[in-house]
Amino acid sequence: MKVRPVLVENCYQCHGPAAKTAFGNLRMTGLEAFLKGGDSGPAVVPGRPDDSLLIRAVRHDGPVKMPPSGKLKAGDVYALIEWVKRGAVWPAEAATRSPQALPAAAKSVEERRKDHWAWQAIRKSNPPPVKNTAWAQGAVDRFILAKLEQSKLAPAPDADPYTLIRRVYFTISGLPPKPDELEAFAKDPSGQALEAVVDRLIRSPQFGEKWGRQWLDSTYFADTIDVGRRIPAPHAWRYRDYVIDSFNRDKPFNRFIVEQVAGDLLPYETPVERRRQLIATGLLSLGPWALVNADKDQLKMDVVDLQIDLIGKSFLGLTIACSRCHDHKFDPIPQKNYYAVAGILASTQTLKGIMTDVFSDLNRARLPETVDEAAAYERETAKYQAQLGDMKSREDSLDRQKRELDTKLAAFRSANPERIDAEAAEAKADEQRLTKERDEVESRLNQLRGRMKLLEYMKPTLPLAFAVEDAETPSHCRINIRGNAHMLGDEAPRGFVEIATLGQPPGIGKGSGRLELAQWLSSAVNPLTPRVFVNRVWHGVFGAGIVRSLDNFGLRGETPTHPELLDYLAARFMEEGWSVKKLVRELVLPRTFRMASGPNPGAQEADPENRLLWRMNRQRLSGEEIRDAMLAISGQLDEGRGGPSLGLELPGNLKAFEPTFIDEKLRLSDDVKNRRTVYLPVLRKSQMDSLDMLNLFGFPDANQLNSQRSSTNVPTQALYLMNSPFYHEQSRALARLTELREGLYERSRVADSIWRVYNRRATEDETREGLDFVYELERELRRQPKPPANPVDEVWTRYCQTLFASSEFLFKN
Amino acid sequence: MTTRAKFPLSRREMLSKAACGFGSLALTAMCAEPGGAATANPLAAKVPHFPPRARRVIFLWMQGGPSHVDLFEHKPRLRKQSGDPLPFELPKTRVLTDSVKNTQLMGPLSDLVQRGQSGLYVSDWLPHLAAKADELCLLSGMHTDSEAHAPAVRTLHTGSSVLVRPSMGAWATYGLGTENQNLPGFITIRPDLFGDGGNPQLYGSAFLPAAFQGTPLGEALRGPSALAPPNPDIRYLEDPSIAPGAQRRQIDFLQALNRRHLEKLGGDREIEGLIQSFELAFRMQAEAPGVLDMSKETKTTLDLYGIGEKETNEFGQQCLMARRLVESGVRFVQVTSVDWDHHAAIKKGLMSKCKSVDKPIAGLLSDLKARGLLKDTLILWSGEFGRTPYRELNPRAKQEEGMEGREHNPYGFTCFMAGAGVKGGMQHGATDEFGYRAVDGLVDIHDLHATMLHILGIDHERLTFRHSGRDFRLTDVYGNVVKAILS
Repeated sequence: MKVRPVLVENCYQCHGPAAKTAFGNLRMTGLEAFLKGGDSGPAVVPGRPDDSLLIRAVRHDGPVKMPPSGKLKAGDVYALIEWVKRGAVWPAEAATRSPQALPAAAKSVEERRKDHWAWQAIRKSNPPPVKNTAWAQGAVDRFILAKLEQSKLAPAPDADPYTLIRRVYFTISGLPPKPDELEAFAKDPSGQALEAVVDRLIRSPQFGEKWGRQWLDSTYFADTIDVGRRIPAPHAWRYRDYVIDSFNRDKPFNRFIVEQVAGDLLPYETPVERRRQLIATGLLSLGPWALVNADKDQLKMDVVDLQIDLIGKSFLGLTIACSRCHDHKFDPIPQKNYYAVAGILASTQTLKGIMTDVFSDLNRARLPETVDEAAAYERETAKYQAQLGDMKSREDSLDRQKRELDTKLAAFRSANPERIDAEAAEAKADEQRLTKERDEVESRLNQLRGRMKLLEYMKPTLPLAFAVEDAETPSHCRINIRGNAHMLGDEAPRGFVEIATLGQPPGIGKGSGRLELAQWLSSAVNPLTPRVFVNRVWHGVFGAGIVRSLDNFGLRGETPTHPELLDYLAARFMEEGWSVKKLVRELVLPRTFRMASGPNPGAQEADPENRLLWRMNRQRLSGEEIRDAMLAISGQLDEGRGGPSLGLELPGNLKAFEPTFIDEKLRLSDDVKNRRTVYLPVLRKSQMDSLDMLNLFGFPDANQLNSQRSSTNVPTQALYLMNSPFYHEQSRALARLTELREGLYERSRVADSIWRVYNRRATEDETREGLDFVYELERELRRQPKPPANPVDEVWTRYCQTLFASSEFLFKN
Repeated sequence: MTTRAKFPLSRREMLSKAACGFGSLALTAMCAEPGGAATANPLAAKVPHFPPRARRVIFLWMQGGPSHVDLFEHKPRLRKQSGDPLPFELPKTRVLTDSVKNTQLMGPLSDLVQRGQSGLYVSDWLPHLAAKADELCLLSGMHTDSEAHAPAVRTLHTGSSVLVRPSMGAWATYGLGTENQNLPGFITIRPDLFGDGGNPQLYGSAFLPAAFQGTPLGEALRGPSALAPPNPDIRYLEDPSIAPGAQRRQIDFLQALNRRHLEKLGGDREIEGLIQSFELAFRMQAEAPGVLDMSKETKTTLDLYGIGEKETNEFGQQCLMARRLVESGVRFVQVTSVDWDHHAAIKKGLMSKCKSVDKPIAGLLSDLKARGLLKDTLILWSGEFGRTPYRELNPRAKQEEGMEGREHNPYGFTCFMAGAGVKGGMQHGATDEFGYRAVDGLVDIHDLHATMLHILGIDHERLTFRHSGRDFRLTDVYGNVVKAILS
């Protein structure tokens, strides 16, 4: 019988053990309290529902009708009646405990630690012995090969050099090899040459662009704030640049965590360091907050919840957020652990003040400015003030004109009351003319005021970042009953998730506890953080994690296919100073990474999902890989990097409503539009029209945490590949690039296109079929009622488009 | 341009060209179960949990929150006490805007009259719909959690106010697949009217496979047709710069490249999927323009929907499009009508909104009935919430007669269903005597979703998807089917 949940949900807000004041002096702490009752007398007469005030109140058939918000569901009323009928038994211990606590029979968190591998300490074992010692070249190979040999499977042969080099490029830099680089490698495809390519790519700025973007997938980063409206986040790019820069500097990953969670609380030696650390907290600051929520207590706890979900999934692979309303159903994460972390985040200021109307605003930090920025600020401010002054005087003059016209009109109207004589028509015309003039002035005035509002919005500032800071008075959180911020239960002292803690966690000091949270996340007491990150890098390299559920290492997550390897890598990662570059290098050099992705019917039968990695996983390129690769291949890629991308200064991109938001037809500015995707604006919900590719090819929604991209094939993608302007433009550009120089045959144009798009040599058959297609299509086009202006250009464009739309380009083998 | 001329290939030829062939589609369709494992074609029609009352849904979304107290809820005390200070308390947890501080009751602005055999009250502002009162099933005990648009809209569409979850159309399509493999299973008509690209979350598939997301019919990309404004369109449906025959040539070449690649690799599910998606895209490119082209509809039909009349033209076209889509086997169709958010000048605004949808919806009901489609199509009409029985007047606005509006009201409102699966001429539930809070026959959004799925033959507790370590449902852990309204 579900009596207590009914009371907790419907009555406890006013009558619960934790209610601030007990309404009507009735506090439902136990049977005792029901018998004693409140101002209206005893609430319950055991065994006699009809005489019990509680029952009459919920039935709405007495003087008191409860709850005030409306009748309970019939089933709930029935449950209460049955309970009273059966004597209103109230379990003694339940009265004093938090209403949400688990039954006493449950095992303690420590007892449950041995139930699941992920809760236990990382154990570094030696690579196992293998039979085929000629194949295995290092530790990774031996871990993989040992499992294959156990299952009587053999690793796939090495991929051909062209496939391999393309794979290496996309994996490390997210871009295909350039034709000359490809040529060089094709001449010398030795192991040393490969190593040299890997090292060069890891040192290139493209490394941070590729791997930084992968990290952003695990965050809520976007260039807009608010979950509903597209309110611009004009400083968010600083966090994106910080992430890319961190990967390029090979910042130790544990340091990267601390900066993102508590950068504002760290000591610093230089203003530059301070600046970086403040920007880093953009991780917590940017998110899909429901800023418009008028219930600010609830909003605050919703923000905390999303932050907990972020920390849980992205660092720990734990679905901690499931414990908001009740103890976790599967993992040993009691609700009090959730509120222990919630207390830390609730003592942190993410939002601050009101933007406009009921929209809350984000906290911002002033960054120490550089000399250049200070000078630019002065320059821009002077310009801004001049512009504003100019507009103000125009406003004054228009306003004066309008008032004059108003006066004139009023005077005219009182001088010309309704008349029906001959002059009436003339007077009417005069009045209409005056009114029209006045309306014109008014409309110009309104337009001007709209522009002034935008100008004010774009007012120059010294550099700012979206960043969090500690609240003035940090405090513990009280459990929100069923996640409702207005139904408060017991206090949960600030702390951490017990199951992810081995040994003594840092004690919470004077502040919010965020610094301690960061230390806990990134220290050796925590067995999850290194495993989760190493697994994510493995996924990025091999296309599937050792634990396939990247964000869930809990009981409902997937079991690791190679648990010893995962621990070995996690331990190595920490020994090597949490270096991401070393880790990536360690994963792309082994034979395992060099395997071909071709078929093996026996292995396919034995291990259809390739969990043991008997071959390389074939992967569809991600949306931005397709876009970036096309730009690179067609010669259109702009190598510019960093800085703002929203183009708020472009006319029409901003709407001057309140709060100011981005127009749905947002245009890209020319200085960024052909850059790599990571430098283009990320909008919440969906991306702008000109980046529709991302919407169709699984670019993550910044409002969701999901480190795994979807690679479903749907017909709308095919329509895009066939008919979108982007595909046409890039294909045309590539066709121009392959245009014949003198003395060359058209067959070499086919070969050149295949070289650039597929990164390999064309076969005889391909060349012939390509030419057949080109000639045939040209004949078709010339027969069209309206043939294209230049059919030859058109067919080569179509040829390039076909290559770009084909599986060999779209997949990484 | 007719479909035939465009792709001079018979259906048979086209299918035989598909890498997987139709045979495999049909097979997976036969083996598929609701919510079962992923099959080669996730959109194959599936068998529901139990015999369905309806096979498809048209969801008419009235964005902004139509005023139930002016349209469907007869509240004599509200009329009588209009102008009185509030006889009830407002919730303490919310921030009140200046516009509703010290507000008063405001009686219904239109005449609510009993209609038909059933005697349902329907406003004079909805005369065509009023004539169909005996086919409507009013749910007047509706309530929802949020009183801001964004979260309430998300709740209505996805069941969750904060988190990103699959939309109800995606769930329905996931549960049932679609009946026409040449068209998407879930189509949303002109979601872009809502602004911000129509908020794809509202028709998204979130963690469900992308095949179940709604395909938007956006603002026309093609030139105007015989009707103005132009037909809504599917993005990238056509490439105007190439004649169909030449494009077919290009696509044959592309598929040859893909098949060669596939052969070289010795088979690959994903690449097979890609090849199949191109075939599906072709078939869509062949069939969709015919379905989307309304130019062959008769004058009588156009008139029925009010197409050609200024006020009803746009929404009439959307409703007609909805009929064409369900007729062609689309499982779930959403139609969006925006601007029901009458904070000010509600009398004028609401009257004109009513006018814009009244004839089209009534026309849709008549047309579906005449074509025998209404008996297995469920119509759902709803806003994300209702409006307050008290007045809202912005202190900065002109303080004159007719400037009043009504605030958002999540505590009680009315939506209606019609068509397959529900009783007509019924009013289920009620708000209090002022129309403020739902007090009887309470139905929240989860209940509404559970009921809709039930009518489609789906048990909302069994339609689950495993994600992030647990099974998700449209109704989360909530939802009760409103049995009383089932026919």
